[in-house]
Amino acid sequence: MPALQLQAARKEFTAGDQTVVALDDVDLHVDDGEFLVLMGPSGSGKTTLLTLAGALATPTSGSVLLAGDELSGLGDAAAARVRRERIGFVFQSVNLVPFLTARENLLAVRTLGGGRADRAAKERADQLLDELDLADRAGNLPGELSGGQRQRVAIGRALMNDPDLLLVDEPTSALDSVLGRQVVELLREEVDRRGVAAVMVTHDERVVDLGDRVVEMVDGRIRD
Amino acid sequence: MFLAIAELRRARGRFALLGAAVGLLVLLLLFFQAVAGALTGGLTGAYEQARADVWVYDDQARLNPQGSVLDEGAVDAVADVAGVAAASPVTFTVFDVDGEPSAVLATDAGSPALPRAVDGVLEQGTAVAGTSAFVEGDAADLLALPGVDLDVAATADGATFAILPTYFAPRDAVATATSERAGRDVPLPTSAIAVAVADGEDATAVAAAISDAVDGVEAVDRATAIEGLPGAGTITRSFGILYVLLYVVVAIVTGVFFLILTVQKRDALVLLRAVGAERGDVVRPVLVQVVVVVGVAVLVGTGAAVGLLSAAREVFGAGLDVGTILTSAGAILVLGLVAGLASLRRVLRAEPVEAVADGGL
Amino acid sequence: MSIALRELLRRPGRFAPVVVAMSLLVVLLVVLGGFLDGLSLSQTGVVRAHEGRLLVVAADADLALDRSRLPDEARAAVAEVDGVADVGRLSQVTTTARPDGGELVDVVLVGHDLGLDAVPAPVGPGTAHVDERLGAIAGAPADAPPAVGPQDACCEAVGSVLSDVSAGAPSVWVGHDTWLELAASIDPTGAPTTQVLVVEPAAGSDLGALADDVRAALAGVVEVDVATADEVVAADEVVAQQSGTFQGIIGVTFLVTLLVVALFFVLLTIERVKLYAVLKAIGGRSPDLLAGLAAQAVVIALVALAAGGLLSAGLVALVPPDLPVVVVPGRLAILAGATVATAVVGSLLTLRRILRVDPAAAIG
Repeated sequence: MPALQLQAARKEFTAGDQTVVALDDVDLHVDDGEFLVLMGPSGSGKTTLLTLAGALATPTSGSVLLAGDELSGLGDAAAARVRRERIGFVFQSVNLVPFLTARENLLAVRTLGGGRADRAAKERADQLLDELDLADRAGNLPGELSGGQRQRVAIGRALMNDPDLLLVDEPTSALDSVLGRQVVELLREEVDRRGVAAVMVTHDERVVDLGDRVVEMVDGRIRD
Repeated sequence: MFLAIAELRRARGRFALLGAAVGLLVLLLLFFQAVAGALTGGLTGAYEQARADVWVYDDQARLNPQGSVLDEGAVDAVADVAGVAAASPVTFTVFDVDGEPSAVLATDAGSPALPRAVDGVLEQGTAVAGTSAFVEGDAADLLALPGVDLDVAATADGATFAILPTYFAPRDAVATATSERAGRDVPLPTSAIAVAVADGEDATAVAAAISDAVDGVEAVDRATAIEGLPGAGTITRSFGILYVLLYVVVAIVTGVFFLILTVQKRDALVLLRAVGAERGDVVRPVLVQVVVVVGVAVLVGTGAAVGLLSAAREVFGAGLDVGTILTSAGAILVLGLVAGLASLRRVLRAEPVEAVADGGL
Repeated sequence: MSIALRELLRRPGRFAPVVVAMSLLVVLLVVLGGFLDGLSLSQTGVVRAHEGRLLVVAADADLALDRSRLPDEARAAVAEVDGVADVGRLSQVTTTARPDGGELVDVVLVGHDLGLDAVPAPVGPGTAHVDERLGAIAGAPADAPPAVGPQDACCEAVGSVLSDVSAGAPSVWVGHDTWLELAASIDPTGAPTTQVLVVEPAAGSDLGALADDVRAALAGVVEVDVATADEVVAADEVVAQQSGTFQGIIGVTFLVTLLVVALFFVLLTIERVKLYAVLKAIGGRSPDLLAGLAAQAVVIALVALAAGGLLSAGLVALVPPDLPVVVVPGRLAILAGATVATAVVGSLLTLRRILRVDPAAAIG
């Protein structure tokens, strides 16, 4: 069973009295351990696809399945739970909580939804920070970290709850080419190590080769 | 102006919250002032309306007319002091009138103690009533004292004493009533002497001259006498503390609001300066917003205060005069402007070059 | 520790403005409460000193003690009622006193027969128990003879009483016969008589039934109301009106506090929309975010209460002693609880904004 499957997924937005089709009956699947690279110009529907895959929005029609479970039609609380327990996000603008240390940013994921940062959570956070070569920066605030270090913390946060699916949005946009590649290589390592499926949206041609498969989108459709 | 109004329109909710908070504070402030005014008016109205420029008491009385007893001959001694045009004895008593304790001020026709509006009306066999919206009960048509009845010939609005219905009555009638009440002949003591000073004379100087010239008395000018009435000074000072607190709270709340707002907009404001805006272009919108928000809040708060006081007139009595409203409203607006300007200091210190610096996470 | 509390610890400066504003509002509330209690307590001290006893007041006085006049024979009539352990007279008049070596001050001269918990029984003619503050206010030694009234008459100070038993001014307690003499000199036109009778009930008496019996016993002598101290205080229109006014003002001040807190949290939420979107995107729920805001509101309120409390203590210490400000612990506790509750409600007024934060805004 694929980790992620979109079947005739469609997303329409209403802008004034016009209807905009952001995603036009898209079929896509991503297997466990597969690193999919999603490319396309602005407005091609990549971000919309990411929001549907991440249970951040529901499709107008069609279905979105995460390891066989239907995501469309989930209520807010159920969708939040899915995001919390089964999906890891790495955002374009990193978006770490600025007043939490690197370690606390990882632990924050466990405290959401009434959870607790128990001993097991702390051990996992420390292990991830170690793997990401941030053990000596665990007590630093995001403002005290470099761009690359912040991005690694974001990756650690995304992996904290051992997700089924990793969704990565433009991870290199705020980094220079050397750092950018390092970050994507790190993602690649984690995907291989954990066997988690990953979808990375990017404009950056220099990191495309690190993916297993490249899919291009244009005008809400996947280009054959 | 364009920026200021655009932001006001876009963010109605938060500006409305600030306006509501300031409006309520304005309401509180005006309400306090009205209550304080009514309380003191009920205490001091008779003095404020009297013609007397100077009041003379027993020097032990601490300016309390009800605690003052003057020697016989004091009136003549006071009348002989230079600068005194008229000196009239006054006795402050309390009788039950129609079942209500009422202040009865015994004095003579033409006395400076009589309310200005009815000066000279105190004929034999008549009385003058002082009323106030803050004092319960209407003036009786007939002042029925023990052993003597007096027709109430005139009414002076606001001329009350000790927050009681008040009557001004001839001394001989009150003497009859007190003897009747005591069941024996009781001479009517003199509580105070109401003095009108001669034209061109300074009341304070004449008061000092009387204190020096006459043994056992303390003479003070009208303002001092009013301030010295039991309770009046306490009320003024108590409410004074509350006014200061309210003004400070208004300034802080307005300042805090605009400080937070300005800090949030810091990047946008620095960007504006980077593209050519002058300091004035950044300052003016904030001032406009303060004037609009605080101005509207003051208007709404004032309207609510006036409405509340009118609706509850029987409970709280006198409303507000225009002068008080304008002074308070003006003070709040100025405080708001100062607080709003203070919030801008931080942003004005930033240099336009920061708009192109890497500042974000 | 939750994310919200960590933010408070790591970014205290962000919350400083609302803490400052709230602290001042707390000061305003404490001062208002102080005036409310000061006015009512200071005016009713003489009556409240008679807790547990019955007060017999002329019916036409409407429980206003200083308007009551009772004939001499009323006391003997009441003494004969079953269940009455003792009966004494109680009267008061406002006058001045000049303690030896000090200045002239306003006092309330109280004449009584019975000893109370707060005031010992009169020792003898020409003696007085004097308010503990009187010396300090007048600038005289505490045991100085008070020299009461226009003739500076009376008395030898034989003891002090707490200022709790004042009635708008420091009190001087004398035997009732002494009081009658002094009152006549203070107001020669007044013909002073007994104002109130105080009934000390026998052990185990039912106050309600005793009141009825006393009323009946006096039916042929004078029409009276018989009430407890609490009932007399409650009947005081001036005190009731002042209390009502101040309570209304306090209520409005709480409303202002609510709006100020709501305003602050709305602004904070607006600034953090992106952060909230991220938290929601990684699985946070709206209730989590609201609970965090409420926790911050509680901490802010507690800090404001501490700061405002200290400021109030300083301010009250500076208030002149003749201004009626009394800070009562019970009222402070109520104000504190209400302040915290108001802050929490204010923070929750961001509910709509929090619910509207779209987690999808974290992407792109």
